[in-house]
This record gives sequence, structure tokens and C-alpha cells, in this order.
Amino acid sequence: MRGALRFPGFTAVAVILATWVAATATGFVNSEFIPPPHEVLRAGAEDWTNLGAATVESMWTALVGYAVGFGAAVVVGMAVGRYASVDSWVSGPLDFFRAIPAVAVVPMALLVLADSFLVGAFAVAWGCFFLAVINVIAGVKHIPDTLQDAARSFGAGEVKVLRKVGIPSLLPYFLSSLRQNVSVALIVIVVADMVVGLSGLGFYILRTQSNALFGRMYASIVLIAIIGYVAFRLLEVAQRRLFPWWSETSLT
Amino acid sequence: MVGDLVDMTTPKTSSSPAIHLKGVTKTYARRGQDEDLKIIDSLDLSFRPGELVTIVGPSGCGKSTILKMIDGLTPLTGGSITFEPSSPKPRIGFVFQDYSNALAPWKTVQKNVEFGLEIEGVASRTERAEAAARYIEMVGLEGFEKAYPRELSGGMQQRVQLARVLAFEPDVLLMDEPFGSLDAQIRRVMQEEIRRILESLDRTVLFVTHDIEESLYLGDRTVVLDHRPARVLTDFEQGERTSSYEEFVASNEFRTRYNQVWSLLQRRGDHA
Repeated sequence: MRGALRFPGFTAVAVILATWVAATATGFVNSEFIPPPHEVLRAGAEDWTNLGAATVESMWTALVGYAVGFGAAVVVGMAVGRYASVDSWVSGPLDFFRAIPAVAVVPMALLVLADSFLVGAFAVAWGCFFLAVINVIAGVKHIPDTLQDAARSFGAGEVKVLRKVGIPSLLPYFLSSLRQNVSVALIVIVVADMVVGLSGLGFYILRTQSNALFGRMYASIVLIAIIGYVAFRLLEVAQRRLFPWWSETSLT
Repeated sequence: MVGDLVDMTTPKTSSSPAIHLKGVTKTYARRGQDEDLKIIDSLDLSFRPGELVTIVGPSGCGKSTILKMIDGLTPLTGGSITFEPSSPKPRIGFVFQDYSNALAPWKTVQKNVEFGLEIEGVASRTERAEAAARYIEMVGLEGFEKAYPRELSGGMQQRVQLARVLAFEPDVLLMDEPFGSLDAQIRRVMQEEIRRILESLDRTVLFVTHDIEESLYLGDRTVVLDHRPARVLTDFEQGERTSSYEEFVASNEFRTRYNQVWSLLQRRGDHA
């Protein structure tokens, strides 16, 4: 028991699984709609080729959108943070478009782009961009200006100031954005798959649900959760390893 | 001119340059107003090699701006600042008041102290590390080489900044209210240490402060500036000082000087 308490996260997962098993075994929930964990596992393994293909497709699309959205956010965010003139032009439209939920652009994207990969990638990029751009702008505003002056005093030109002061102080903000955007990318890709209705994990969930293949449906949902969890934790570890000096509280 | 009271011909042995400010003027454009705000108006001042000068004046009188102009961090609106000799270009070290923003939070104490050398392009790691180690010891930070700035107190962070500037081995040291943000006790300790360090350096040092006591205690020479636009109210040298801080602030010499500076600043406005 002591050993288990040392890893409260694992213990909590075990408790949830046990509750799930108990609820289905006792008939507290209808095991037709909520099958027990081992049934879900079996159903997932049974349809592994379809589930695997849907996962690879959705994750690839999401990854492309995630990268494009982040890249655009770095460029726009640095320009807005650095140049007041860009800020005055861009921040208004930025605030306006940010108010549009990423999932709301999917139907429009479908009309214009008419391709499930492009629609998914575009919607994910949209969602990731607006969250990341705020982080990047905040990052640029937090580049310590006195340190920039110190670098200039030691003889640095503007390029060297950016390289030695700007970029290093921005990197943790970049990683924060990447971490926060994991969940955005997953939400948006699943919804995009559902709306487009051709393929991918979102479509897999809809189809298995309407065909009463509930085991497969839960298998795909659990798979999404695992992917999100692993990605989030990897980025968290990277952040701790790479930027041990950084604390999220320095954002405020 | 009051500045002429100081004899500029006395030779002093130092590798530092003399600094001459001639007609230095600084104005800032004010939003929505036709007339610019004049911070510094035609200021003439000279500093001799190896001189430790404290510059005292009310907050916002432009004393920090003077240091930034000397270091080329802020452009002049008019006039000139020259070094003598003018070549090689003097190495200038700047100690900022705002220590928490002056250090790199992602660098350890050791790497922060090496920052000037890194910017300069000193490639040899061992050379940088040796210089850093020497000055980390001088400012009393041994044992904290691997700490990050946020783990240090304000006084310790300011020591890091001091070591960083010293490791750069400047010919001229500019210190902009370096202890202005520290609490009174730490400030006393730092004043004592900076005296010890600066005496061993023999460099031209300009030390800006709004604290009259600090300016009298630390300076071989003290320049008192008026509030906007900055002009020299008085400029005097003090003799060789051997007394301790306690003896000094109890002395008649200190009281006379203090009252003189205080009344000058008071008479000039309600700003001090």
C-alpha cells in the first residue's frame, strides 16, 4: 500500500478501472452500452487494422496542422510583440478571429478545401495558432529589456541580441504553447473527422457508435486519451529538462 | 562654470580613458505636445582617468540617461561625448539598477558572469570559466556557481551583475543606482564591498545615485545635478578617506558636505 501511495496517479487510474469493472460486473451499468475494460481491449484488438489506420491518418493530419499553426504563431507573434506598428494593425483582427472556435471553421473549410486532410489540418492549425500566438506575444514582451541593453553594452549587434537574449528567453514560451496545444489539436481533429465524415478517429467513433459496436468505440476513445497523455507528458518532461530555471508563474 | 573647479591637468596613472562631455543635450518628444521635454541641457563635464565620481541628483533628473549616452545605449540629441585617448575604443561595463531584469534567468551564476565574454566572442571555455571564477570569488559568491538567479536574493543577484561586468575587465565602469533597489542593511554591506573592489581596480568609475550619503561616502569626487534639465549645481573633490563608514558619517566634514548638497537640491525645487 505504501508503494502504491508513492504513485498516486497510478493508484487513481487503478481505482477508476476497478470501479469500471465493478460497475459492469454488478450490472450497475448496462454492459451492452458500457462494456467492461477487457471487452473494450478485445474489441480494439479485433479491429486493429481499421482502428490503426484511422489513428495514423488523424494523428498525421493533426500533427501537420499543429506544426503549421505553431510556425505561423511564432512568425506573427514575434512581429506583433516586437513592432508596435504591426501590433496596431494585427491585434484587432487577431482578437476578432480568435473568438471563432476552431471547430466552427470546419464546415466552411470543407466548402473551400474539399479534402479531408486539408480540412483537418487547416482546422487544427487555426486552433493551435490562436492559442500559441498569445504565448509568443507574451514571450516577446517578457524578453528582459535590461538584459538586451547589457548585451548591447558588451558590444552585441541586434542579431546577436536576438540570438543570445531573445531566442533563449522565448524558448520556454514556445514549449508551453506546444504543450497546451496538444489537447486543442486532439479536440479539433476529432470534430473535423466527424464533420467531414469520411475517415479518421472522429469518424471511427461515430460509425462504431451508430453500428452499436460500443467496444470499438470505447477502444478508440481510450486510444485518443493515451496518445494525448503521452504527448503531454513528453513535452512536460522536455520542458523540465531543457528549462529547469523556468516556472509557469513567471508568465504572470 | 562650476565644473572648472576640478583641476583637469593632474596626471593620474590608469589605463582608463578620460571622458569629456561637451554641450550634451537630450530631449524626448512628448506625445501630443509641440515642445519636446528637455532632460539634459548643454551639459559640460569631464572625468579624469581612474577617478571615482559619484553623480547625485533627484530622481528623474537624467543622471541615468547620462550613463546610457556614455555607453552608446541612448543617442544624444546634441553635443558630444569623447574619450581621451579615443583609441583603442574603451571597454565600458554597465551595472544596471534593475538587477532582476539584467540577468539571464536561464543561465546559472557562472554562465551569467561569463555573459560579457560570451558576447565578446571569447571562444575558450576555460578562459571564460577562469575569469568568471576569479570575479565570483571577488564578489563573495563562491558555492553559488550553479544556482539560477531566481534562487538568489536581490543583493546576491546584484553581486552576480557586478561580477559579470568585472569579468569583462572594463576600462570604464558605469554604475546606475546599483543599490537603489536593495534594502538598507544589504545596501550598507554592498557599499562597503564596492569600495574595497573599486579601490583595487583603478578604473574610471561613474556611480549614479539619488542617495546623498552614499554619494559622499563612495566618491572621490561628487557631482551634484539639478532637476530637469540636468545642470551641474556643484562639483567637488574630497580628500583621501581612511576613516570607516561610522567615523565618516559622524565627521564634521561629512555633515558640512551633506548640508551643502541637501540645501542645493532643496532650493532647486520640490523634487528632491
